[in-house]
Formats: sequence, structure tokens, C-alpha cells
Amino acid sequence: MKYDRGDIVSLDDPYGNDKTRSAVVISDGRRPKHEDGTIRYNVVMLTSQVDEFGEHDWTQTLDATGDTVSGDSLLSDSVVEPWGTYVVREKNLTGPHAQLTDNGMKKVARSLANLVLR
Amino acid sequence: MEPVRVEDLKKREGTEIDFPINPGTNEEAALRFLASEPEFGWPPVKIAERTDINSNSITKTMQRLYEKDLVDRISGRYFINPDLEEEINGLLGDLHNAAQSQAHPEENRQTSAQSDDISDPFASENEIDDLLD
Repeated sequence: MKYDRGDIVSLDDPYGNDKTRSAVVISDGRRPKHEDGTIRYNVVMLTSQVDEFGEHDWTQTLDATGDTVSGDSLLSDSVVEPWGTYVVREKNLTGPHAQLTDNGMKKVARSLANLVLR
Repeated sequence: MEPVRVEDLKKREGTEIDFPINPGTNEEAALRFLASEPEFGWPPVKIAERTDINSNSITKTMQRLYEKDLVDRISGRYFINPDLEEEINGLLGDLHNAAQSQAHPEENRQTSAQSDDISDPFASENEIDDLLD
């Protein structure tokens, strides 16, 4: 398995815009495999538009350096978009570019919990 | 990258497929129909009737799908390749999503405005804190 839970990866914008976007992997090797043998990952999209989305009721903002494992960092502070959840094949991901800390992953979890419960 | 058993690698190589189908084509329409009816083999004329593909085009359409190994054929009746059924269904879904999102690119831009149509919460912020502890 190339990617692990907490890895920051990039992929073509799943919303259909012509650009590359960042996301965090939230599944690991316990995810059931598919009959075709390909590995798929659950990811949550990130956006650098902190001013635009940082105040949304559901979002959490990741600190570019404080929420990543030492030595790696995000390109900028980034907002977790819990509405941007996708299943992506391994071949459609690149990276990992960084890995979130425990605290960073708790922000991702809080964001998802906000979407589901609040 | 984790090691993988050779037999699994060979199986994977045998089932990973390129998907040479463009959205909005007769091939997509025929394949989508057969994927929705995997239990039956369909003669081309019936596929044309059920998909609105021109009857003059259906034979070539099915032949192309057959050559691409996406469908199988017995006694002149076509059906989705059973070995690739799940993969084809997944790729048809991707194709649909791509077509939807590319149809109006300006509509893909996100806005931060929150709707007034907001549900009652199932949990408070404190309860979520407790969940995460």
C-alpha cells in the first residue's frame, strides 16, 4: 500500500476544475479491497482558501507546519473540506507530500464529525 | 510500497483495464445498458431499441466494444464482460461524474455561502469533543 492514513496527496480536482488539488488520506490497510485488485483510498479534500472557507461551521484549519510531521509541511495553512470526500484509485494520487500529526488528524475527524452531527 | 504475491500481481495485470470510452457516445450508451442488465445476453437490435442508438450504427458499436474486450458475445447476443463487471461499473460512474462536472465548468466553483436550510444538530460541540477524547 503506497499511502497511509494521514498522508497529504494530490489529485485532479474531483469537482471538475482544471487543476490539481490536495487531500488527506483517511483510510488505511483495513479498508476492504475490491475484486479488480486495485487499491482505493478514502480522501478528504483540502483548500488553501482559508478566508473563504475557514469560518464555515464544519471546517477546521490545518497549520502548515504545526499540524504536520517534522520535516514536512503543507504549502500553506489549509482548510479541511468535509463535504469533499472521495474514493480514489491509487494510480490517480501522487505523493505523499507530507503527513499530518495526531493533532492534525483530530482536526480532520472533528471536521467530519461536524458535518455528520452538527 | 508493500510486496504483493506474484499470482495477485498477475491477476491484477489481467483485470486492470484502460477505459477507451468517451462520454456521450453510442459505445457508452450500449455499455451502460448492458451493465444495467448483466443477467441477459442482448441481440444488437434490442440494444438499439432500448438505448435509442441508430439501428444502422448498432452493429459497429457492439463490434468495437467486443474488440475492446468490454463485452462478450455468444450466439449473436452481447453481455457485459463478467470478469470486468465491477471495474466497468466503477469506470462508467467516473465517466458520468466527469461528464457532469465538465459540462459547465463555471458551476464547479465553490462558494462559501451557507444555506439557511440547516438541520438540527445531532450532537453539541462538547459532545463531539467527548467523542474525540
